[in-house]
Parts: sequence; structure tokens; C-alpha cells
Amino acid sequence: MKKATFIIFFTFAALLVSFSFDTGYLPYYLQQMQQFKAGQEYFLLQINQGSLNSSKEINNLKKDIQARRIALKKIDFWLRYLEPIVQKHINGPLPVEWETEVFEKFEKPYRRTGGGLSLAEQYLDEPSKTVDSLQQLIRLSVNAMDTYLADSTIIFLKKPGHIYFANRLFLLNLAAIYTTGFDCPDTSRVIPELKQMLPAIKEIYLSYNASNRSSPFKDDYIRNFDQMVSFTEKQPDQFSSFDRYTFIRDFVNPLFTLNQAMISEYKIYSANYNDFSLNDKAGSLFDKSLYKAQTSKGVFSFVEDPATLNEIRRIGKLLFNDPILSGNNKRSCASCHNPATYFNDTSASTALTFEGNSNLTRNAPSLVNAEFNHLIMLDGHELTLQSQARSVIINPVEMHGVVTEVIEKVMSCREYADAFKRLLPLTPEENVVGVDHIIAALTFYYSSFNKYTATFDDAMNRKLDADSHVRNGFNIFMSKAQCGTCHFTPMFNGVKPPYTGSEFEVLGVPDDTSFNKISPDSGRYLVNPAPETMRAFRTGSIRNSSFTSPYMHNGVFKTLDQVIDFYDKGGGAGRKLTVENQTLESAPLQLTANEKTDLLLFLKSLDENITFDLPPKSLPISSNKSYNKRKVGGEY
Amino acid sequence: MNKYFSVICCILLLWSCQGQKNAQSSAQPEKKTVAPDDIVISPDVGPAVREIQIQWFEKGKALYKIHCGDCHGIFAKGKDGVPNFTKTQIDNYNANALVNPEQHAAVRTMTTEQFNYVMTFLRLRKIS
Repeated sequence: MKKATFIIFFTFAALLVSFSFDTGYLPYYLQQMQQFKAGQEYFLLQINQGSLNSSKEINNLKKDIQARRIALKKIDFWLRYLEPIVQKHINGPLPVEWETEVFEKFEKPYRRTGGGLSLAEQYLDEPSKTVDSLQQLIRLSVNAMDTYLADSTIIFLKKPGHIYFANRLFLLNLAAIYTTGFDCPDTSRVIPELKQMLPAIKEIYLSYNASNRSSPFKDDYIRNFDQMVSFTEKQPDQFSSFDRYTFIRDFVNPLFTLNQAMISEYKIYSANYNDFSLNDKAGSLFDKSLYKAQTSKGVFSFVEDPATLNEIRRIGKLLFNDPILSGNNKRSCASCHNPATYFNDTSASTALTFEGNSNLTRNAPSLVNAEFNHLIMLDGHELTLQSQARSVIINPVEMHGVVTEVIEKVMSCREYADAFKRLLPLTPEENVVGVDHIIAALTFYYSSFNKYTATFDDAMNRKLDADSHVRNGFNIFMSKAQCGTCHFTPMFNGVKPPYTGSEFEVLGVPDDTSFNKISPDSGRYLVNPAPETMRAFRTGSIRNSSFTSPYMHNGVFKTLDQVIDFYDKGGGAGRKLTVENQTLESAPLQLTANEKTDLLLFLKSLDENITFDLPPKSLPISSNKSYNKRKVGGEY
Repeated sequence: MNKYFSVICCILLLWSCQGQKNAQSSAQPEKKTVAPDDIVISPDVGPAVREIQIQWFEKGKALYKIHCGDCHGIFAKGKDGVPNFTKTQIDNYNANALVNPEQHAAVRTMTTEQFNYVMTFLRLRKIS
């Protein structure tokens, strides 16, 4: 009996000793997290003992925040991946955000509160401030740390594969977040913080390699990372002078490729929601299969055979140009989304209504790259491409169709009927040809134009070199002009890592170019009423922008110069319009004429070299003769 | 007396209901979908939703048979070591498992609507 107790005691003691002397990954993680938490607690204490009466005290607090930010950057690698919602309490960008992420699309948007360092720093610049509110912002971050020290998190960290997914997110954030000032309102600190952050990440890799010998970070990865660190160190500290083009092209993207290769080689997969949209097979950030937001095949989702897909596309093309989908057989999808010019309408700010006596409230956007948005429509009203197509067809002011009639009319054409009857067995859950088949053909057709790349993508994939103006333009885009904090690299459409949701912004877009009043459109508020969503619109893609005039939700600007000028002057609030909740900074950007020219050249480099189809010569003949008068593309 | 009165009232009420029902069914003879015998729809569900539920259930059943049945058992009767979707399992289902691309490639290929059909099938099917 005594012997057994002794053995148990001995084993326990041995375990304890081995744990405390282990220099591996998990102890390193715990040490870093506890250290940060203790630092935050100490900072909270300092705020408690101080006051906000003199500018000297406020400046001291700001210095403390800067020091805390450096500590944060050393562990942000884990914070953002393990619990992105909790991370918002430690360094959130906004006090309140509304999120509809990929798993919660069918639910009401969630209200997420922010707290932590960035918000505390901004709070110190407010005219009236209290110690209590400041404390509250920091207390949120202290409490949030418990999540990262919880058992559930520790158990997760024991799975060896997770680090490659966390690292992937980190690399994506290097291109979209850490170099743009998204998480750092004081832009003069962005590059110095980056310089301190990178060596700390290497420590994480090394600690991981020390305890996971079977799936380590490979030598060439570490070597490339070292090169990135030394490149960054040699760069100037100034926010707008850091060479992001080279940084992403020659360092971040090759590291991403190596990281993806390790994911394949070690045969690891993730069961984390943050990785849900991301494609493990995409070899480059600038590969359009990087993440998946929509299923363009719709009801034909399981069809893989190229010949069958071609047939669906052929039918989709006919239907896209066929006014038979509308109530009066005069409007087709092509009426407002011209397939010859990037699937949009460059002729009018907003299209005419069905009756033709007034205009719709919003501009018809390009359908190219629509597949890369999680929420569809400018207010995020539709969740899928398919529900969007259906809503336009049945909308009384747009196409004014009736679902049952549309099916009947389409099936009265022999060519459609034969094709859909042949395709029907591929959708075994559907007994008859329905509107879902028609819609799936449409969305698959226009999404087939998403495969093209722009010259900027090719430059980033090291197939060619971008000229110095484009490089400079990209740098301005990512720094001084603050475009990159919403139009995130690499898709530039308002979907940020980990690519699970769409962003909404309030810009204060005017009703007309005289800037007399703000556009009356309530935007996202119509879908999700909240003070923060009033006049918020989903951030659109800036790819192909040379061809997608007019711009903004109401098509108020006809040229890109006007758009750049609008941002340069600080949006609606910068032009003295009353916009209480503008998310765009209202201070002017003060871009020089040369900077604007380079910015435009960069935007042009994002134009995709797409080969468009010619419209069909004729439409399928219907058994009902009255439908056979319809014209290709409709009369509108 | 009172008792008799109420009984007569009840009979009359039933009679009138019957009459209405007949009138309805003669007006739209084939519209009402016959529920399959393996679905359990709550009596509180109204006719419009009931119609949708039956439709989704049938679609989900077809999809389940093709894409899920191989591992989880035909019509969710279950196999050893693989969830067989009892009521408790459905109510507390762990979406994390679905994210795993090695085992649930079909779920990733499906559209959200199709996934919804499968979930409707699993939720409403009769569990013996």
C-alpha cells in the first residue's frame, strides 16, 4: 500500500518537474499569455491611480498604450486565430460592429462590442473623458485573456496541425491588416510595430519546432522568413514609404505558398470555423480560388463533368439574354447587366423601373467577381447568388415575373425544356424542373467570367513586373489613401481575413455632385436596423473599375477622379454633410496630384483582361407564338 | 339538459367542420400534399409551412440517401461509431464536425439550401 502511494507521488512529482522545465510550444504560449495579461492588469492599475487632467498625464498614458501594443503584437498571431470575436475586446477596431459570418448567415446579425488598446488610444483624444470609461475599455481586454488561458483553448493547442492554419491567417493579415493601419489608428506606429512583431513570430515557430519534431516548420520556410525580417528592418519607419509591393510579392506570398505546401504535406485539416472558407489548395494569395463565398452552380452543385457544365453554361447564356424571365417579356438580366461590358450598366446612374416612369434607387453593379462576396446586394439583403437572382426576377419594380409563370414560359420553349429534362436527373432531390434550375444556369453562366486575372495579380504572382507608378500607386492605396483598410488585399472587395463575412461602411455619399444633401438611401439599416448601420453599404470590388462607371450605390460619380476626390476630401462629413456615424475618416487625405495619378494607374492594373461572349443570335422558339416576338436581351 | 345541449352543439360543430372540409377539398382536389409516413410534423404547423416542410423533407431525404447514407446509414438508422442522428444529437449537433473537409466533402459542395433540406429531413423524420 505504501509502495503504491509512493509510486503515485513519484510519478506526479516527475510530471511536475518535466512540465516546469519544458521549453516547448505550450509552455511558451502560456508564459506569453500570462505575461500579457499581467501587463494589462498592471496598466489598469495605473489608470486607476492616475487622472486625465493634464496633457502630460494623457501623453504618459499614450506611451503606456504604445508599449502595451508592442506586447500585443507578439501574441496577436494566436489571439486572432483562436478567438477572433474575443480578440475584438483586446484590440477592436470599432466600439460596435454587426457581423453576419458564414455560419450565421441565416441568423440575425450579431452585435459585437469592441474594447482594448486602439479604442482606448482614440478615447484619450476625446474632448470629455472619464477614468471609468477608459478603465472599462482596458478591463474588457483583461477579462478577455481568460478565454485564451481556458482549458478548451489549451486542448486545441495540443493538436499539432493548428499552427499552420494560424500561421496562414497571420500571413494573410500581413497583407491586409498589419501593413494598412487597420488595427493601429496612429499610422506612424504601424511599421515600427511590424518590425517588432516579426522577430517575435519567429520565436513562436522555433518553440513549435522544439516540441513537434514530426511536423516542423521547414528550413526553407524559416530562411525565407528571416529574409522577410531583414528586408523589413531595412525599410523606413514612415508609414507611406514602406514598400508593400515588394513585401507582399517577394516575402508574404512565397511564405504563404510554402505554408500551404506544409499543410498538404503534413496532411492536416482544420475543423475551425475560421478556416471554413479558405482553400487549402490555393498556392497563392492572388489565386482566385483562395476562398469560397458562394456556390455559383446552385442546384447543380454536385455536377463536375466539363461537358455537362458547358451545357448548363450554354443554357444559362441564353436565359441571361432572354426577356422571357420578366413579366412583360421585354426585360432580361442583360438589360441592366450588359454581358459585353463587365455585366453592368454604364449608361445610367440607376436603371428605369419596370413601369419605366421612374428610376430605381441603386446602381446596377457588375456581376463579375460577385461570387467572392458573402452577402449579396449593396445592403447585404440576399445571402446567396441564387436568392438574389430570384428576388430580381420577382421584384415588381425590376423584372416583375411570377415564379410559376416563369417556369411555364421557359418550359414552353423546346430548347430549354429538352435541356432541363436532360439535366434533371443530375439533381435527384428535385422531381420537376423548377425555378432553381433556371437560376442555377444563370448564376453559373455569369460566374464563369470570374476566372480571369488582372495584370496586378500576374505581377504579384511574379509572372511580370509592375512599373514604378503602379507600385507607388499600390503603396499609396495601402497607406496614405487608406483604401486598403476596407478594400482588402488580395480581392479588394471588402472581405477581410479569414474571409468569412462582408464589410459595410458609412461614407456619406451625396445625393448629387453639388454635395447639398446626403443620399436618402438607408442602406444596411433596411436589413438590420441599428444606429451603426444607418446608410452603411457593402464594400464593393474595385477590380475592373475602369469599366464599371458610374460609381457608388446611387451611381452619383461618373469618373474615378471624382471618386478619388470624394475620399481625398473626407467623404460626406469632409464636405460638411451631417453624417453622424461615418466610418471613413472625415479629415482630408491631402493626396498630391502625382499620388492621385499613380493611384489611378494602380486601379487600372486591377482591370481584368476578360474575353466576353457575343450575345446569342436568336432565342429558343416557344410553342406559344406570342412569346416569339421577344428580342435578344429584351427591349430595355 | 345542459349536458345534452352541449353534446348537440358539438355534433353540429363537427358536422359544419366536415362540410367545410368537403367544400375545400372539392374546390382544390389535388393541391394537398400527402405527407410521407416517415415524417413527424407538429400539429401546430400551419398548412403553408407544412407544405414547405414536406417538400424540403423529401429533397433532404434524396440528398441524404446519396451523400450521407454511405457512412451514416440509409435513412439515418445509424452504423457503429458513426452518429445516427438521434433527436439529442440533432439538437446539439456540433457544426465543427461538418467543417472537417476530409469526412464531409459533400457538405462543402452542397449549397446552403441543399444543406437546409438535409437538416429538415433529419429533424422531422420519425425515429422509431
